[in-house]
Amino acid sequence: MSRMLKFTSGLFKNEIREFQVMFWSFIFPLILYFILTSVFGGMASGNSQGISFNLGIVKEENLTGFGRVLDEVLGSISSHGGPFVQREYGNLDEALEDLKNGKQDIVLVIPKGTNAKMTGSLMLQVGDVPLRMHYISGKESSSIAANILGEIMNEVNLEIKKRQEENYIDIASTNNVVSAKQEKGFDYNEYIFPGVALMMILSVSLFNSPIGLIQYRVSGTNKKLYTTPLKPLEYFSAHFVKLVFTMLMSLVLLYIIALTVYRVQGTIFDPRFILSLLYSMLVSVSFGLMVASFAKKLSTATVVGQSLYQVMMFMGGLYFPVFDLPWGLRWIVYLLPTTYLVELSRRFMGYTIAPISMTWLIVVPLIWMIFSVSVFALNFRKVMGYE
Amino acid sequence: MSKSKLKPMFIAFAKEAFRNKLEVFFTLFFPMLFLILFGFFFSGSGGYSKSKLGLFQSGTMDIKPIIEESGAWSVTIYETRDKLLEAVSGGEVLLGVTFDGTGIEYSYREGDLSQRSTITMAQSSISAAVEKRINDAKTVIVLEKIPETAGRTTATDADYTMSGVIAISILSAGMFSVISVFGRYRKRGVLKRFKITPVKPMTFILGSTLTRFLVSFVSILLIILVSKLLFKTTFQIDWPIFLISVISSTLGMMALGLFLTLIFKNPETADSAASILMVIMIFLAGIYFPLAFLPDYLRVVSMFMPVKYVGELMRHSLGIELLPVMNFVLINLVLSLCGIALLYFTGRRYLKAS
Amino acid sequence: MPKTVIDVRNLKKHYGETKAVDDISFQLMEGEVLAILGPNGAGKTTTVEMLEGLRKPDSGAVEYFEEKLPPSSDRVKEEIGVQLQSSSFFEYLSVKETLDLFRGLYTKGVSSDELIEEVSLDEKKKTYTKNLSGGQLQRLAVAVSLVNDPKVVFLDEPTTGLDPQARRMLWETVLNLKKRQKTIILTTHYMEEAEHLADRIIIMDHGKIISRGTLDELIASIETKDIVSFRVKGEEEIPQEFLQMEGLKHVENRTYAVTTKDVERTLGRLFERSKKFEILLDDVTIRKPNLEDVFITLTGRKLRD
Repeated sequence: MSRMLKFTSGLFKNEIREFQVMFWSFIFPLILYFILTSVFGGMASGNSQGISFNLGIVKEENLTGFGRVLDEVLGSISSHGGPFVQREYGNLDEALEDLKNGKQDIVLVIPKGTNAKMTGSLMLQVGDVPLRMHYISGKESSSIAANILGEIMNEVNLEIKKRQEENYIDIASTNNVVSAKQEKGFDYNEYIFPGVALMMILSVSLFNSPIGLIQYRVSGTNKKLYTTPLKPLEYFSAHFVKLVFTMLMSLVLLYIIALTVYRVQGTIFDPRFILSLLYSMLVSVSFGLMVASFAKKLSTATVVGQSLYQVMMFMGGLYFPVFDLPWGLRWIVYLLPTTYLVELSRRFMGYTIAPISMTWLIVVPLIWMIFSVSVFALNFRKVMGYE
Repeated sequence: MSKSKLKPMFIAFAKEAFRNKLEVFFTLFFPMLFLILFGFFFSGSGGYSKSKLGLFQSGTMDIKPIIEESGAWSVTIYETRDKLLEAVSGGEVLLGVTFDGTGIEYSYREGDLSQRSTITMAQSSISAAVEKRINDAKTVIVLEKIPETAGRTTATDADYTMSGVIAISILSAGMFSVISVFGRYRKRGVLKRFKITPVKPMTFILGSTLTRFLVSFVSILLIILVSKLLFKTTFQIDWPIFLISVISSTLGMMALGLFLTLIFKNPETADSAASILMVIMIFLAGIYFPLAFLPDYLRVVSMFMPVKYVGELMRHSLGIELLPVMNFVLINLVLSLCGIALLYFTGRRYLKAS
Repeated sequence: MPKTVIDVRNLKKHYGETKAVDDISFQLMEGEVLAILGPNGAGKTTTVEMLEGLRKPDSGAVEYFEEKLPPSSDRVKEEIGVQLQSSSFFEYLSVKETLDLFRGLYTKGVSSDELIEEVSLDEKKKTYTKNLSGGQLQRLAVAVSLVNDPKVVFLDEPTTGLDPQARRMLWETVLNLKKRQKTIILTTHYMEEAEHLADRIIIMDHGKIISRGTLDELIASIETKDIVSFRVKGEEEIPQEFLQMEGLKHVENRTYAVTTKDVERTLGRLFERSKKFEILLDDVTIRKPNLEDVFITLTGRKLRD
């Protein structure tokens, strides 16, 4: 036992001092956490603060009388908190040029005769008020801005009717979020936590583990160890303990950051949630061992590890729900163990994102684990370099 | 510069690059992986099919035609509310609408950020449309939507996304390749070996970087081909402009990589720093989703991302979004000059006798 | 009476068509330094790795001590120390940490500080192994092989790639080990090393033992008392008749050697022939035969060919 522990200590020290290990296991996931929460945190919570599109306005006549209603509307959507930053143009050509070179997202043209038409429509309820909106087809920011302005104008129309009509019927609308408990609001920082945790686990299990095993084999370090009394099982146990320890360290760091910086709630201390993370560690480690079984060379292990890492990250639902992908890709989603592992953790936080039952969330990764361990066991001698 | 020395140098580096499994993977296939993943995530499923909406209505009024009028939804009727909610949970439909004649309940799954804006828009547009119908509200303000094209072609979502993938591919090929040449080769003593030969620094630089240009081009052509097949992109490539843009962009991205090798002596550290930069640029350069969605402080950061400008060059040369001539020239000039200057400086530093 | 430490019988190892080790047998006696000498590819490392338990022989037996234990047994692992041909350790552990790590894998041993002093790595005690030079790594490898105070030490080409001074230092270490009654198997392709360190020498080539014995025995076996070597001056073609001298062997370029039991007679004949064929001789030397000569006599090739 002491021999194994001493060896574990040596392995761990060697690993933790390597910058690459520190970087991929600790630093990179935290940077990604920061980027994702900064970028998507606002979007996900529906917080429109900070979102702004550029609106170019071309007035072919000054707005007066009832025409000022439009000025008020435009003013309200461009003020603090509004989704637009507006700029007036003297002529359409200039505005369209700026639209095409990206300085404006949409251009609204208030044509000649708008004042008269507004008066006719509002006072006499005769005729309508045509406005023109130019947008760039295919460009997301332009399309979204166009849709938003379109919806705003719809609301304006309804508001006008409301003021004209005494018996106006309001349609109430409510939201029903089926993926979370009713009392729970959606917190992206919390939602993303299991994804980042799994990313840290994967970086150790898919990079450090197979690369370490292969590196020690090809460099001859293993050979030296085999001339000592260290047993294969002791060696392997030390390797496993070292991996687990590295993962635990990275998770502790993540917990600290999540609690102090991102104010993630206490669900991450739920014992079931913690157990799910431990389960993820076991499954991921076994997966990494399977990678080591198939890769003869260091370069192969790196390539396979990186590919699997990226695929599992993005298609395993770590950051974005993936169940709306076309079936050409969706089968991959259902194949990956990370899909189930991250969903399992999220279930214990109160989210139900994936259309997968709890049983399958446990069984599928278990199948992967058994399969991976079996493959590794069959290839053990080859991986470790025993003759 | 001796052409006779350049040729064997170029051939040797080209062989090395294409035989190096790792390098081939990261410069050719890795961007392809990103293309497919990000292409489906950020441009939807090619924009072919309408999003699915489930409807349960218990009042007398049928709002199905109202919803379908928008053209954005494919509506399925459910017999009960429970069945509708099951369909939403199961992912059969993106949005569930329950209408009882007086109010609308919108049911959806949280967390799907790529669909968040679609759901939000749907909520307001459906409610407004239903309210309008019920109250027989006349449309006062009629907003005519006029699509414009910023380029030579009427672009689709996929075109924009794929141009971003190409920009990232150039970033990857340019940045990581020079770390390989000036970082790893330096560490292994390969540069030292060349130092004692009669090869001029510029010949070495050209020989090693021409290979990277070649790899970059091959990667981009592959991306264009795959994106045409998978995502039906409508690029109208102006080949001379495209060539200039790719060369200057690659030079510019090389400058970034060289900058990292000068700061970080250890090539592994430079690699790690490059990885972080790449992730930051993927998310913050306005390549895959609008900068409008970023908080103000991050939008400022994105102005300093070189790959944002590479994206603009790509959109220009693929005919998606044309740049003013001055901008085009300026961006190309800045990227090229930075690349050439740093290549020259780094070459002299590591290849001339100290 | 010295005891047998390792008994090797009819050892064979094939890799496809290649016979890496082809039916060799020998014994290693307690307290002796046995050198296995041979060119690259002779099968030395394969042989030694089978003794260390790193490779399984296709047939034959390797037995340790009186108990006739196989190399894989725990007791054998506790009692042997191995310095491998290519030294590779954990890059981010220091010299001391590496020795402590390996010391921790055995039930008994010596302190790492003692070993660091023995191999003169005091100044590099806290240096990561990835920052050690080739010579320093070799010295560390030797130190690691001694960490369990083994009875048997395997040194596989311990001085390959070392400068002469480092080589001498390592030889001193080996001789010190010998003084401490360690039993040592040393593989080498340096003849001087074998001559300097070994009590007995086994010469291997193409997987077989082609000769064995003490240095004196090996040299005596080629029945040569002296070797006269000379160089032919000039660039002209050397007449074939001149080269048809008994015992004459081509060494390299225009240098030749004649093995002889009667040096005076040989010299006389040599000068006579050179006068007859009008050939000018240079660098005429007389020396005693060495292991290289033994190898050339047995195989017709130089040790380093």
